[in-house]
Amino acid sequence: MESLDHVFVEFRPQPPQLHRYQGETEEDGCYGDDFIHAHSPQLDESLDAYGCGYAHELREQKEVDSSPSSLVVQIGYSCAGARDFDCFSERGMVNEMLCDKLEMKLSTYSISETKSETNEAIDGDAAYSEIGNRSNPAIGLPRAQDLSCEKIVGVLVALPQKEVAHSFIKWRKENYINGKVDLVLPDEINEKSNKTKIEFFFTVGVLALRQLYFDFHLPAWPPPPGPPSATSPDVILSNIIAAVSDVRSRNSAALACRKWCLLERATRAAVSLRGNLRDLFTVPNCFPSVSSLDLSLLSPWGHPLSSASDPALIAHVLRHAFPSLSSLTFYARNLSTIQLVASQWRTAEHVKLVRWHQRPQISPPSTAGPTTFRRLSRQAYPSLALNLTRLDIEGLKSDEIKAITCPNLIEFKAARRFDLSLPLLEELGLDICNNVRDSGAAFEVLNSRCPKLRSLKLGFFHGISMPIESKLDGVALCQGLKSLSIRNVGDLDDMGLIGIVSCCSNLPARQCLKALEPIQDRIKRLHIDCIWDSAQELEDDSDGVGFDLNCLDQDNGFDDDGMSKERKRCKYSYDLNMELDVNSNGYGNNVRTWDKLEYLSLWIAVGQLLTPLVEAGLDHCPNIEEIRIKVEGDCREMSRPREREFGLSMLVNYPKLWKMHLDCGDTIGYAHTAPSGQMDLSLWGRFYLIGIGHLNLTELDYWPPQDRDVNQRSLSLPAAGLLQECFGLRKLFIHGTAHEHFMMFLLRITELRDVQLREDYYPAPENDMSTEMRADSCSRFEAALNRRRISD
Amino acid sequence: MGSSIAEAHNVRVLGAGDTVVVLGHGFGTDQSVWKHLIPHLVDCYKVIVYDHMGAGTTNPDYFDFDRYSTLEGFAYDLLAILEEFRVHKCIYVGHSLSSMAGALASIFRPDLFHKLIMLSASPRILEFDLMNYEEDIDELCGAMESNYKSWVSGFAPLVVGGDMDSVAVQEFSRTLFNMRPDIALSMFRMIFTFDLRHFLGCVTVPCHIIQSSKDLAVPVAVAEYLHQNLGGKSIVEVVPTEGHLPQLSSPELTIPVLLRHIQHDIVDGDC
Repeated sequence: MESLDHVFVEFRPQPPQLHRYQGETEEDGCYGDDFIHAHSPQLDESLDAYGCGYAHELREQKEVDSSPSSLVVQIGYSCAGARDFDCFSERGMVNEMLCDKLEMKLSTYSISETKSETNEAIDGDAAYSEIGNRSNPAIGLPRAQDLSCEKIVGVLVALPQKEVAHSFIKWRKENYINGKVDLVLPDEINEKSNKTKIEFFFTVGVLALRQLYFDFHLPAWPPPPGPPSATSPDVILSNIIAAVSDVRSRNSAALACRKWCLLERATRAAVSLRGNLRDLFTVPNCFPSVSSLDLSLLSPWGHPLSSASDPALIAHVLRHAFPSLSSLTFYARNLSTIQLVASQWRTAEHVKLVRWHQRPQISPPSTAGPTTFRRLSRQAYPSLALNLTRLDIEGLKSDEIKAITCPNLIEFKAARRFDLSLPLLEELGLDICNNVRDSGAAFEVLNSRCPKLRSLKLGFFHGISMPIESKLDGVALCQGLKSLSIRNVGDLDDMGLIGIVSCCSNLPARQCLKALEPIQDRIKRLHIDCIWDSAQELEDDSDGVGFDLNCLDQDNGFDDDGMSKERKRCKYSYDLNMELDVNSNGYGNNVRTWDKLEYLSLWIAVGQLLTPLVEAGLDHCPNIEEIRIKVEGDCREMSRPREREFGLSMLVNYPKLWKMHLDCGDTIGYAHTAPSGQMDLSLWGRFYLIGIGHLNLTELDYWPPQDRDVNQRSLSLPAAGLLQECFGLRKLFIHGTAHEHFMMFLLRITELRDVQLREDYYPAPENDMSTEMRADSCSRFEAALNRRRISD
Repeated sequence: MGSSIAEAHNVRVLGAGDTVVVLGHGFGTDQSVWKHLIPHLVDCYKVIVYDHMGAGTTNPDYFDFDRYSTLEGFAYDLLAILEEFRVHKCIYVGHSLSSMAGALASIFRPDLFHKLIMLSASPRILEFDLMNYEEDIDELCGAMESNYKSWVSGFAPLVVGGDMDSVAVQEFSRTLFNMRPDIALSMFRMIFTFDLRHFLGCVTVPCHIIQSSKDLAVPVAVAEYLHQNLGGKSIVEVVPTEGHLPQLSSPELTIPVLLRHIQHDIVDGDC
């Protein structure tokens, strides 16, 4: 067994929950409205209404309709795994060798998402019987001769009930002569999390699949009822497979043998189709139980179903292949698609219309006034003043407040309106040696009234930053501050500090990283703004002084543009959340490394280089797997950079890096000829992509820079040329358009399996004729891609 | 198979009207350069837009290297499209080199053209526009060649037009680098060799010459040369715009001018 490759397919099970598609699809940048309707007439109405632009009303209606009684069919697992075309391998280690054995053509169609029907999670007995009814009684654990692999080395099964162990032992004896079946009984399982472990060991010829490891839990595992069949491997397996939500694992299970394949098909509840619209008539019909179908990711991406050559035929074929649909997701920009779908699936209860081209959300102005203070006295009676120890007031002007004299006052709350409006105030110290609670909102007002405030010193103020999830508040919104000193604050926790720090867009990266040193070996995810210190600061800041919030006024190039700051705050406020692993050793290591760091997110201004990253402290990150780089700024204001390349090559320092988001979508420049001395976008594209071939990337999302004047985000010649050097790339999503012959460059990447152009931005190209990519071009490229032999 | 021409050229027919307006884009772009103009035309005219063969939006396999080694190939394509869609008379709006292809087509079949509207046109691109940039042209040749070689051998083509110092050469080379390297190389040769100056006298249909006041690729002098040498009536209007694609970069100034010239013919006093 030592020689076996291990493949872990890890599940992140979640308790049964209302199936909110919105949440899971947002990961893909998809935004949609949920429509939940009990009857088709309502559906028709709602679809008409949608076409007429009344979507907002329906959204409200959804809230009403989402009563518990109507939720039953929408209970499901949200799939924690990626929406993957590449449905067999997690890291490309498990191969697709059995692809041929599948009836469906994965090169054309693949199943990228699955949600298992888990009615049983609500009603154990009823659902149990339903599962039993649905699965073929003959289906069970595979016999050795049924397995498509040559020899099974062993099976490790962990079961929550001791009773069923005997069945497995018997099954093992019947089927695995030389094999090994280990049972892990409930006692050995972490019962608290109701975890069940199942490991299947396979040897499949000389190919790569060696071991498949499932680790998931079965919520509401049905108690073994009376009938003996309840404890038979068949039913157990049926339940197990039904509970598997990860699409790759399901496909792996389906590859084990024909019976498992049938069982998997019978319990597959949701399918997301990829492939080209014009090939839809070859859609597999081996998924009769699918109740939820996602058509929004078909190619050409962003083309409605109604743009097929024979939409009615396509709809008919789809209906034939998926007869029991209740939930449907598709892309729609006009009424015809909706009518088409409505005519075919009159029983659909849940329809989601995807709009890829979401307008950027304009953040509401900071209206968080002193609402928390609207509680108490409207008037302060001077006669009471002598006895007062607590005072909470609102709406008084500053000169009125000045008139209050309360010698015994311990607690003073004033919803200060800052009516004085000190537009020129730059420095403010407030240290009143008495506790001031819930002061956050006051600092927001302070910020609006004193736009030039640069330095703030606070003492005994509490609640200055209490972010709720990604919504920042209080002093974190004081955008203009260059210096902040906080003393004696009682309730500033990690998240509060993170909130403040994450708004410090001009914090030098090097100092930020230094500040994180004490916990750097525990951080798993990190966002950092790449604000590089000047060379001088790099030199003199080598004494290891810790992070000091008082020292922030060193940076230069401060930006007075409140608007851009406001935008930026909204965009990045959620980024700097670290996931701390409490099991780590913590302190005590002199040589600190970023051992736990798996995900790195970077923001960098256009024209800045990536190369100082290592120097700034992110030098030893052995476990970074994913990186997201956001480049933002206006190239049109910049002259040609001195350096030829941005510096992606330095990321070879991160040996495990396999996934990258390179987002230049908010980099603005000239798509056509640039004025003398400046670079056009093709050169900027080259600047950012040089060196990407040196990284051993498997997945890449690339947003080309854009020219807003002509609404163009196009892959340029050098970009295509540089992308084709990523030899290990399997998955490439370009969030823009491209000429066909540029796309054809990509065919040189032998491993490439999944490529799509996604125009998921606003405004969308007006039509097919206003982009660089025609539907025909797209189809020719996909055909060429699918024609290739897949080496593994 | 009639529709193959329409399909190969991504032809779209829009709007309704008795008069047909055909829009020909310049090389290195595609029909989307007319996106600001089309909405103003569709109410009164039948509009035909198409992509030139070799444009990034067409199937490179259809590019016939012999046919398109001269400008005539493009002129024949235009005539084929007009025939396919049974256009007996049209107003042709051509941008850049396409306006010359239109002029050539009008020499072959003057009966098909009511008038030509030439935007940023030049009968001999090197002679007029790029003669001051010999070094740049040499560099561009080298870039083209190396890109072509690297494309053939599978290495990344990394030299692009923007590398050239001259903005005029940048603009010119953009047309080339938007094409597949072998097509671009062929086109490059064609552009070097094509010279319509001696045929201008044969163009008898009325020509409206519209020109950016600041187009480094096509100086204003070229418009004047065209005006002097065209065989038929012609008129010049210089629009206070910058760049070689004014219909895209400054639609607010360019579109009204184009519309005016589409709507009104030259009267004898004008020329």
